[in-house]
Amino acid sequence: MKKYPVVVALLSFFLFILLIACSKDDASFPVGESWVSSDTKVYFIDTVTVESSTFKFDSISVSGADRYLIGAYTDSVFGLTKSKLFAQLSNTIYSIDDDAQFDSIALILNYDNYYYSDTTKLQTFTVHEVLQNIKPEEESFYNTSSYRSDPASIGSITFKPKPIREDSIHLLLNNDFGKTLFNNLQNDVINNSDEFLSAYKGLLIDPEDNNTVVLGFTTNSFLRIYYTLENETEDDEETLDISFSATNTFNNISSEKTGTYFENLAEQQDLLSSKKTNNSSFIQAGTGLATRISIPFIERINDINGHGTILDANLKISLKGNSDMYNLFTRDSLQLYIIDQKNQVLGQLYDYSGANAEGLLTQKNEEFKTINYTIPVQLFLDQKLSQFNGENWHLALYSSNYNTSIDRYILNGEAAKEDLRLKLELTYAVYDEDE
Amino acid sequence: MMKMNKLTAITVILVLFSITVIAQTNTQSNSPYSSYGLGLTNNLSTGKTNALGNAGIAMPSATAINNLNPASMAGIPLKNFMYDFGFKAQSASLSEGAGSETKFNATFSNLAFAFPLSPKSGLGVTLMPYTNVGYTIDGIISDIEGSQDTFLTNIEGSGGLNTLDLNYGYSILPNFRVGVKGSYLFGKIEQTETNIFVNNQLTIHDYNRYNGLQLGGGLQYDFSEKFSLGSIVNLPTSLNGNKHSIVYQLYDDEIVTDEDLADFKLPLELGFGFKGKITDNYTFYVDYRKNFWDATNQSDKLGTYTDQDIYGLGVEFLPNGNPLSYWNAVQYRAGFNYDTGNLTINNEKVNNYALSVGMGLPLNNRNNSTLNLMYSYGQKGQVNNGLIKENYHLITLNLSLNGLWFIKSKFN
Repeated sequence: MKKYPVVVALLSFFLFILLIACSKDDASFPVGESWVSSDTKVYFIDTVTVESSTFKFDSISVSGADRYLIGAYTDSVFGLTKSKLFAQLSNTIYSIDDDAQFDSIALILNYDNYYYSDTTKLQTFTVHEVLQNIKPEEESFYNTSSYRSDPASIGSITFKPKPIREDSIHLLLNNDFGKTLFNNLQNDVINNSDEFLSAYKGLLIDPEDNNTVVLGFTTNSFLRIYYTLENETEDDEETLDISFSATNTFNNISSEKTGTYFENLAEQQDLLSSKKTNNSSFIQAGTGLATRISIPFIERINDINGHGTILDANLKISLKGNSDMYNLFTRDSLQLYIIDQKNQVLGQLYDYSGANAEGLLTQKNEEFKTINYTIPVQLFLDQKLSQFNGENWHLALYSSNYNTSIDRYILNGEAAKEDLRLKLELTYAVYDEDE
Repeated sequence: MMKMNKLTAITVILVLFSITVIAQTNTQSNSPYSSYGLGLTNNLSTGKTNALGNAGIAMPSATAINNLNPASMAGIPLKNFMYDFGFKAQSASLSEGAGSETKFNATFSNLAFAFPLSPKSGLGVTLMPYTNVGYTIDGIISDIEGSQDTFLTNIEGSGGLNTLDLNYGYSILPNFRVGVKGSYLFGKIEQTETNIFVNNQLTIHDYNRYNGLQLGGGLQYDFSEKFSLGSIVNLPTSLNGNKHSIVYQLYDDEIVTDEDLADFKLPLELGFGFKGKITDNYTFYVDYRKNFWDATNQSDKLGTYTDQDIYGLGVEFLPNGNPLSYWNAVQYRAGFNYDTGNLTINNEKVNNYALSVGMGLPLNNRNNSTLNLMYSYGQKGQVNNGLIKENYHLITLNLSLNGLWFIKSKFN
């Protein structure tokens, strides 16, 4: 009996499979998508209770700040804000030609382009000798760190600041002070750093309270001694520069809050609810004012029927444009800490990419002068919902450059109108509805 | 003896291969309808009934395993050991409204063996898909409630349940056979739903496992050489299910849950068959089955389970001419099957009809080993009231082998 029909049949079968398997899937038109529904229900929620308030960090670390801040200004909301510079000198030259003649001495303060508030008025800085060793309390200098200084001034300047157009301020000091220093070095009274620091503990550059601007200077500002070296033919003008210590120079930033909203913020745990401050919360760099944001009832999200998960969560907060003063700059990003119920810092706020989460400027309307910031809080909420004690977790919103600026922010609270109000925008998916 | 060893070796390989394939093949269907319940019920069976419009309740397992009625096992001739390996390939074009798409799948469709226990009784074991799940539905757009935004969902399903049938048939009288059947139903249905958002993606993997036992019975009565009647019953049962879910998104930890699923109820099934040999050349088969789904009171998302009627009609032609010609030994078959479906969507039943033609190609002249081929063209559902119409081409191949035991081949 011939077997070939079987072989032919088998071959045809597999050929058929091959043919239809290779035929192109016409997948451009999805069939069934209007017919089957997703099992997942997704909700966009922006009505979760969010509360804001203002508190003040007791002190902020200012060690290693890469900008010197000197100046003062008075703000209609924040009161008088003032930054003084405590500078330790860091000398490296201990020999001067015996024939050299002292001329003068001056502080050269190099502008770094930062300024805050009104530059059109005359400003006055005075310089005093510091009488105590400038060394950090514990590990760090704080904005509140202060050292005793000689009430008598060794120099002052009254000037019209031009922080952008000019390079530096030339602050002439008393010749008596300069000459003594010059002689000490020339006559080998001071031969090394220890001897230098015991004689010259540092300088305090102090702005007057009625100044109208806080100015930023670079850390390569210095003290310069001018002297003359007589030659046989002509005189050589020489200089000797003494830089500021990189570690023991810091900004002392303070404010006078009497008569402002903040006069009763004595302890870090004290809170000033936005409900009591015309639906506003506040941030000020340098002085430690920060906005606290609380989401007190987030665990109620679990009351939504079924198993769910947060897909996206962002806080929206907007700037209140209520200042009649110029040059009160704000930045495009705000920084965040996770804090506890006593406003103690628990850690940085991170987002799911592992990066520090920031409040980023996401919307700026020139016409209506509105600025909105968005803060990613999905990780924060997931942690808050799962961590022991998570109900005591809050967010602290503070200024970037918090130890090298005095930037201030007034933010809208929960009661502002819809597009400006503080709110939490949640995207929540229920993937397994209870039946 | 050489021949026997070779056959045994081939058998062992095929058995192992089929078990692996049946256990691993995921996409056994390509119909959106398979997203409901446990999937699409597998209509294919062993031997030659696929080409006969799935009719054969009254057919004895004389030359090939007939899995439609356990009573047929009593008809296995002594010293026969039967195997059956089934393969299928299907190409379906789905249309809904103005659009359509074509999908293809190929898989094992059954593995069976049967043998006589005594002159009066026989036993058969069949492993085959009970339901098939396979669908990909892309581009479902849903609203994010409380906003103007939407999200996109893609759903993919695969898997299905298998049934391991133990059939026992016994001849009470030479023309009256009874049978009982025990089926162990088991399997896993996987569904992956991917929801795509602007900043995130939520994926839900569900692994639904079911298992359970079903009992059944059957009768076959031969009125004469020419006419036989058969009937079957499958008792209602419940399948236990549990669900293992893994939910994950781009952020946050994955969530793993295990929960029991509500029992899935299988209905009472009754079937009647008639076999008539009109002439020496022609044999007719007519089947009617009814599955009482109403009583299970089950519904699923958009659809409801409702009573199902299945009609099968088949004819087999044997040329019976010169026995020396190969083509005179070939069996030719044709059939028609109409199934009202067990699913009602939008008040429309998802019915199914199929026309089939087939051939049984003898593999040798010493026993009844046959290669059964079948081609069918069918349609499921229709394009109205939001249903999807599927037109499909289906090919099955059943290798029905018959090993004669204890008989030495005189010629090798």
